[in-house]
Amino acid sequence: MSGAAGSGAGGAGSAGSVGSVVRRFLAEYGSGTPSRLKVLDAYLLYVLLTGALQFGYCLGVGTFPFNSFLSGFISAVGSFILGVCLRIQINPQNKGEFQGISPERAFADFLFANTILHLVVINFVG
Amino acid sequence: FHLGYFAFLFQDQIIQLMNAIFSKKNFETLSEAFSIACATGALSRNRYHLPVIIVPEGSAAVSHHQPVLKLQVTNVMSQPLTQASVKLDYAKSASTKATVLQQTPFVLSGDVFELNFMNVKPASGYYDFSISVDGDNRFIANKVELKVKVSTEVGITNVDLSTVDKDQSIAPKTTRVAYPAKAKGSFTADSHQNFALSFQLIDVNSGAELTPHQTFVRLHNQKTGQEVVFVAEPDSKNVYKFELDTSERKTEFDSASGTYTLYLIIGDATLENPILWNVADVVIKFPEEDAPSTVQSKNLFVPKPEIQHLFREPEKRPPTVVSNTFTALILSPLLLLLILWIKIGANISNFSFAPSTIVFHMGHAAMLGLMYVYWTQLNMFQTLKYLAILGGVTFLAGNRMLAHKAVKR
Repeated sequence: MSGAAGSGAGGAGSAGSVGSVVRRFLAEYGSGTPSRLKVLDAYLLYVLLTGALQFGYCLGVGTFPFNSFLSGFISAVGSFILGVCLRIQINPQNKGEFQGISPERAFADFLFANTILHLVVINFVG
Repeated sequence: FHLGYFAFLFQDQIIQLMNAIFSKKNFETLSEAFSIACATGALSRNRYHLPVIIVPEGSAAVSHHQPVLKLQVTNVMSQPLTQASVKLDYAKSASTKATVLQQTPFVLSGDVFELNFMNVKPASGYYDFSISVDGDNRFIANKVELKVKVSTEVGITNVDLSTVDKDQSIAPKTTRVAYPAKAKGSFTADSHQNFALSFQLIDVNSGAELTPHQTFVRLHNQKTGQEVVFVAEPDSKNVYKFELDTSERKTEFDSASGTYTLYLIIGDATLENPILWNVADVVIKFPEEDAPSTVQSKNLFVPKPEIQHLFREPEKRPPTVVSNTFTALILSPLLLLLILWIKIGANISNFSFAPSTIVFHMGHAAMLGLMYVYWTQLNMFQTLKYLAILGGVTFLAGNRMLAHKAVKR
């Protein structure tokens, strides 16, 4: 994630400081993050919301077709995890840790892993 | 030397061949029947092997009225082999395995061979006989094992009926009855006296004690038609005993008091004279509080009450409105995603129309379509097959496309 967020985290005193921290964070994020990563972040947010909604529905109406709930939820969780992995590997600030892996290779891995995940998910959804 | 070996081998083969030929009893065509007749003729008239058929005439059973065991010894054409000598190798009791007779010849009488087995006074039961037929080198299948039944007549002696006091304060009153008479007077069994019966079974011809398979005591209620059957067991001295305790047995009788006729039933496969004997009348009194008002006759052969099958209740599902609302709701994050993407400025302006790019995107779309088809129709194996093809194509195209992108960077 963007490294500048840490500097704004000091001072726990008044109630306004949480709001100011958040605003500062959003500003830093908006300016400091390459748009490619922002696209990925939007995708991650989408997957997160979908998973949360599924879970909430299951809590609300019960787990009757349990396998369907599980497969949908695991699809959301798995996609989120794979998206996070892709984001880590693509981030230019992490280049030092991923010497042999180009962003293209990371994207190909992402697609391959997603294929396998969704094969299993479709098998299980019933 | 070789000839002897082959002759021995052929014997078993010929016996099997013979069994195979004669296994079918009905023929559809005349030519089939003719072939069988030809085979029979060949097997009964040749220079090498003559199969011998040994069957008892009637059933293989002897008794005092019928002491002679008769055997028909023929060739396969059912012609009696009157020149043969038929011998009993041994006769063993099936139960004790003791040999009662051995090396005794059968006597030819007309067309059958006879042996008076009762001369050795065998005890009743089953015997294993081993019989061999000789007289001609060509005979094969000429040794058989036969099971023979020796039956006899049974007599009942020492029949004692008594009422035994439970407290044993009064001495038991015993009455002796002789078969086939009926005991005079009736006996009572109630809460403070039991009814007891004891008897012995002997072979009238030899005097030996017998233990037949069926020794039953049947009590028949004259008014209600109920009957209850008990088994009389022999003790160590082969004396049969039966005791009726009203408090122990009231469930079998449904606590119905009254006069019961007592029958003794003796039977066995080796007895010529099974016995059904009305021995006495027994008045049975059960304690009053257990007596049912009417006695239902247990008819076992009426249809039973029908069992209604309970189908599994389908699980409770939320109403369609709720699930449709949720389906619409779940699409809203997708909407949000598109809005965010537009806001961030994601675009496809860098799209190059190189063939590998097009192939890659088509292949990827086809894989997604395959997922949908898998959900609706296919099974895992078919999907894996298609996925392998599509995946391979997409991988190669994608590889080429991403490599180009990396080079451009």
